[in-house]
Amino acid sequence: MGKGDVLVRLENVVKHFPIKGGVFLRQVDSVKAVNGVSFEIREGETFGLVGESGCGKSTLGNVILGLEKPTSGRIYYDQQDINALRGAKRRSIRHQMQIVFQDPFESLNPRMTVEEIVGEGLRIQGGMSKKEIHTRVIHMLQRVGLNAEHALRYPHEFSGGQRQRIGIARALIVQPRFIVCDEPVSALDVSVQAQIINLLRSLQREFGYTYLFVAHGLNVVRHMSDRVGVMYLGQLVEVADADEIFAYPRHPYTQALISAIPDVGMRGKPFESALSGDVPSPVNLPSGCPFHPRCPYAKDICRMQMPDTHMVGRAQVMCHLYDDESIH
Amino acid sequence: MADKDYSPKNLRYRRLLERDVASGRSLYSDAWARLKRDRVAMIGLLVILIFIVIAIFAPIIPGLDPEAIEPRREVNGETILPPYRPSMKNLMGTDQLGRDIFARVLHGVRVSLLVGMVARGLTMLLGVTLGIVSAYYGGWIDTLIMRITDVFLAFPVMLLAMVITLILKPSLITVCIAIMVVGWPDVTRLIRGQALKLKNKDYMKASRALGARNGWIIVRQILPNCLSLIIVSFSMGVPGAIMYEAGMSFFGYGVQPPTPSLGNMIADARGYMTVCPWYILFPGITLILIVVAFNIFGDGLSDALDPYAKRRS
Repeated sequence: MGKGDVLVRLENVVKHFPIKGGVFLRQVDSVKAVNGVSFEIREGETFGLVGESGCGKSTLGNVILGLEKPTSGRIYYDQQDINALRGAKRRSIRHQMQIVFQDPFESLNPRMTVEEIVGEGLRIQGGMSKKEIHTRVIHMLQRVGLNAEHALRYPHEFSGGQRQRIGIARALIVQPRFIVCDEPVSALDVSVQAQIINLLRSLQREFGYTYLFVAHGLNVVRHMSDRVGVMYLGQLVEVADADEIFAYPRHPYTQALISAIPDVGMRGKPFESALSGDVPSPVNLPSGCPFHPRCPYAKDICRMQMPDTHMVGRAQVMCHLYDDESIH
Repeated sequence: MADKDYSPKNLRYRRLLERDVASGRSLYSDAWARLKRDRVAMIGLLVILIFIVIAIFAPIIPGLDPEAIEPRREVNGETILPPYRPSMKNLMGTDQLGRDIFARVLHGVRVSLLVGMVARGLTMLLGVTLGIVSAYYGGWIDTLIMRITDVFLAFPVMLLAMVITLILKPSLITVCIAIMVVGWPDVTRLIRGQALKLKNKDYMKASRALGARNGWIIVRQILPNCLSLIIVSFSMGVPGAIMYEAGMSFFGYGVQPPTPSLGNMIADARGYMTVCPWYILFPGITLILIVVAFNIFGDGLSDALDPYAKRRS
């Protein structure tokens, strides 16, 4: 399988979390975190996933990794349906897909030394001597910019950036192909953000990893990604190449997000098209297009009917504004 | 790190820094360092250690037979009947049968500590297992276990324990079982709460993403993070178990005479309170000493293992 082939493919993935209530804990409603998302990630690329807090992007990352079972829909990794696999086959795929978490203070077990944390994956896999694990851990620590003497320390002795490096080392030691970066830099200082991003990029160049890069800020995604998907209320409203989406945002939501990037040059001026209102509750989704209550171009049809996905130029857009163009 | 040689001028800050950062690395060596500075807790520990030594060596010490009776005694040519007052021969006097109370107290300490440790150990074993299983697997398993704890918590504790020993025939082992049966729901709830909090941590997800099975996650990730809670809960629960044993023996549902236990000695001494006050005094004081020692040690331990809680208050 070479660069550019599809590595991960999602088909209409839905994830609803039940809300239980009442005396007998019946399901009274559900949080509709992900509502029918389909896209592909190609080998060796970085797919950026952006959206506001609570739009379901982290849930989607967890579902892809198999940490959550999707309510419906399929996820293919290397052309295999990962939720249909069992036992040893499933575990071997697990090693190929890893995750780097957002909060470096929550993602490391405070009772384990760095060596134990980083070496856990190898110990779970088994079949390796202690000495071999130790050598690999030290090697990996050095590769992510830490020292060998850090191995015996505990997570609380490190700064946020260093902890994130430990988290990256833990994910990489099992030699994965696909890594979900779940907002890996949003909890870090700006200067440290750049270091971590550069580390992730240099690792990708060296080992050819495929990244799903989840973020809520467009700046970082623009820096990292080959292609970008924009999520809103559990739906992927636009997918396009990174250059394309920043130059010609098609969906009104993407446009609003991009115009909301704070820019040094616009000091003192208010954001022109800052979105009004809040994200609707994912428990009671709006009828029709989920974005219509906040959309400046909302038409009658937007309130009634869910838009289809259209190819507009090289972008996939889910919006009624492009209904006519797609006919051509 | 770089700020290792930074030393603030303010003495208080410097002491704070030296106290909490420079000491050992892991939580447990840190906790031990903090515990060593807690004088009250160390006194408690010392008392506990003394009692443990006593409990171990009591049967080896020659001349200490808790069950030997002495129906009459010649003093200055006169024959006197028990109970005898405290003297050089009987440091704590004797009871109405002429049994040496000192010997009986030492053996009673043995029973009390044994029951305290074993019963609390069994309680923790059951409670921790069910608590973690309940939190980790969730769903109907969680509901079932929690409803059972509700049922057990609805019983009057002492009555339930007495019924259990009555059914199983009162003895040292059945007392331990009874204490375990009445004690596990509290532990289960405590541990379940902690495990629920841990279950959603990112490092659990990371472990699963690395292919860990349930057993691995429970043993390697959840259990070590519950350990300080388990230690504290154990040490705080030992005096309770000792008190239950004493209480049950007092009512006659615990350790059976002639085996001495602090509880059945106190029960026995009740009738002689006005005749020989030393009979009830010494077992009572010993019981209080053990319980207080465990309590203050447990308190110190919980502060040492959770330094933030102490600083907050």
